[in-house]
Amino acid sequence: MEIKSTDLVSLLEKSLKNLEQEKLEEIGIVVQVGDTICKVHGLDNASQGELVEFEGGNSGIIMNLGEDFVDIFLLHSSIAVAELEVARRTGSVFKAGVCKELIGRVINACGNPLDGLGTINTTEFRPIEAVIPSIFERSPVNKPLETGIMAIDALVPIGRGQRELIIGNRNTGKTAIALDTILNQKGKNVICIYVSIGQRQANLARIVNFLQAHGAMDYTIVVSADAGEAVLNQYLAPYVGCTIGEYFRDNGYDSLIIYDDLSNHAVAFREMSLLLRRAPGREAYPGDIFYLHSRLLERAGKLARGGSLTALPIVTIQGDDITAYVPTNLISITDGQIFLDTRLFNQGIRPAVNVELSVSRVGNAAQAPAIKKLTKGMRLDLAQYHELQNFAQFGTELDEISQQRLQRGAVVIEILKQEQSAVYSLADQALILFLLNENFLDKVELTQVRNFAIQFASYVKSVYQDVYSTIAKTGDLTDEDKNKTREIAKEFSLLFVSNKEAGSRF
Amino acid sequence: MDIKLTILSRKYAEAFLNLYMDSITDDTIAQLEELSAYLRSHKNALVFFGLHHISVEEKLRLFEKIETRIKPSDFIKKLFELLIKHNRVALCPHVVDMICKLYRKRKNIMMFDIQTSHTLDTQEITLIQQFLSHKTHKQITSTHHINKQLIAGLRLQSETFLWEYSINKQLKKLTQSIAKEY
Repeated sequence: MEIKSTDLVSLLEKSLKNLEQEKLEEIGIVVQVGDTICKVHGLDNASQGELVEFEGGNSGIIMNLGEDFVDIFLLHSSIAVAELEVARRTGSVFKAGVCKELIGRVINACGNPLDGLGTINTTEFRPIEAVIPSIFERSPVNKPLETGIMAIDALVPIGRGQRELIIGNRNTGKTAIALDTILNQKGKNVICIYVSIGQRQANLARIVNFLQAHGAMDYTIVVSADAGEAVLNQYLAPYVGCTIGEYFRDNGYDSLIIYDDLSNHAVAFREMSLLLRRAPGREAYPGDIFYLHSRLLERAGKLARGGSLTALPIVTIQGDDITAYVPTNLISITDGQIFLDTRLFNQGIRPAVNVELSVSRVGNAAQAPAIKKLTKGMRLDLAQYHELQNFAQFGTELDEISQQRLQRGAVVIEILKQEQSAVYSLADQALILFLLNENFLDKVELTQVRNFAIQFASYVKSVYQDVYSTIAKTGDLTDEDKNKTREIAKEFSLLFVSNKEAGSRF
Repeated sequence: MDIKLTILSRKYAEAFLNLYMDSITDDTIAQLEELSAYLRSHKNALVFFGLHHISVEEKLRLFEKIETRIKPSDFIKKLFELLIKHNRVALCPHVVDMICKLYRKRKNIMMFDIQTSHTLDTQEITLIQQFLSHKTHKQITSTHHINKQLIAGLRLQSETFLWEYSINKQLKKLTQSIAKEY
């Protein structure tokens, strides 16, 4: 069929009329491409942090605005960007998809699923850099977020909405503490978000398997940017996790976010800054490294209208040096830190929480009344124990009081020892601490202290359910409860001893 | 594109326009474009201009020969002489391009490259220019060439804007969505 030129003109006119509704896209031309970074000429009206799409299918975020060029970091290292390729403005910043469907899923920083469980139908998209709640919107942190770890709940309590740093050398159990905290949130209506930054994929697989095995994925979301991903993804992952946490917080949930770890995040940001030719400062980090983490962690908090976001950032140090640049920054940003000591870890004290260097600035405001009452002198006992222990190493003869203090300190250390994933409920902790406070553990052989305490809690739970459930419900230990528990403890002491004797007879 | 060259060229171009903006006409821009095209196609001349051991006088004598072909305005000669003195003649095509670009920007003119899969007559090109002018609120000048890769449709591209409606674009979109899904 022959087409007349007049027909073509009218066709073109018609299509142009329709196309007027189409967008004239603002573009730039790629002039230089490097490792996950490219320089683009054009994009005149682009803004910092804006999402840009490339013709070849890649996308990136504008990180630097210059007079003639903009620097863009690429989101996908697997999709090539060629020189002279067209880059389009999207007019919006990078947004994270948020919805309840994310629970139980493992996603990357772009929101794509990594678990092979199918696509996620995201209902809402939120910019990853959000306005931090003002002081009027916040309420004081006064509700505990139990970790299930006695050493933390008793001595360094964490409240809902608090930011508590977990700091320690490599292989000191930082992730283990974070994972135990997630396990302990089962049935407590807390949504947990685990953000893995710059870790090995095998490590992440182990963590996901661990959470699945303990049924914790039912209320957990994992956001991962592994070591092999583009540096931008590692930079974005914590912000994406935080945006998801805020979504749940805004919907009235209490959410818990773990950043594992921010040392890798700082390294990723340093890499980006150096590629952008920003002036390196201390330890080659850029000048705004503090702001990088402060604006992330300031988003945690408890809101007056309900809902909270608790942040547990993790930071790795080297050679127990907490005075390095990033750790000191994080210590000053957060509301306290849990310091994990290699020396304690090697002595078999696990979790290796160094009580002297650990602190919670919210203090016992976020502690259940029972725990608050029972842990009053515990920190002092431990401090005296450590002081006397150092003294006793010289072979000095100690008086009876000092020996008693040493013995008590050893008992305290013993009950603070806990195996991974063996989390204690609030009632368990209250009962164990009651035994310590009422000196029931002083007569027990040191090696048997933990057995005694755990079995006692289990005994009360199974035989005296009313006492156990009252403590669990109220979170308090009234005088009446104390009297009852004292009687139960006496009864159990006899049983435990006789059991032991029975054991030795056979 | 060398970023340092671009930045340096921009400085020369801005200085040039600050001095001669009022005297420049569209004819001057056409001359400049001709000069840029000539230098780009005669790289040997650029190399000659860049050699240190050749005196400035010798270089100017060669430029006079080029003048006979292009007949540039006096201020273009001055620019060229300045670049020879600064031993930056290699920058000349970049500076000239930048002058054209900045001139158009100041005059609210936008250059578009119209790519189509088929030939267009002047009426169609005028229609497209009107469309672009309406969209950008700028005076449009355009070049046209045929791009068979579009399969069907058209692509209107300037340095900062793109408008494309072609089969090629639809296919690319489809490919990307399939790649994303699987």
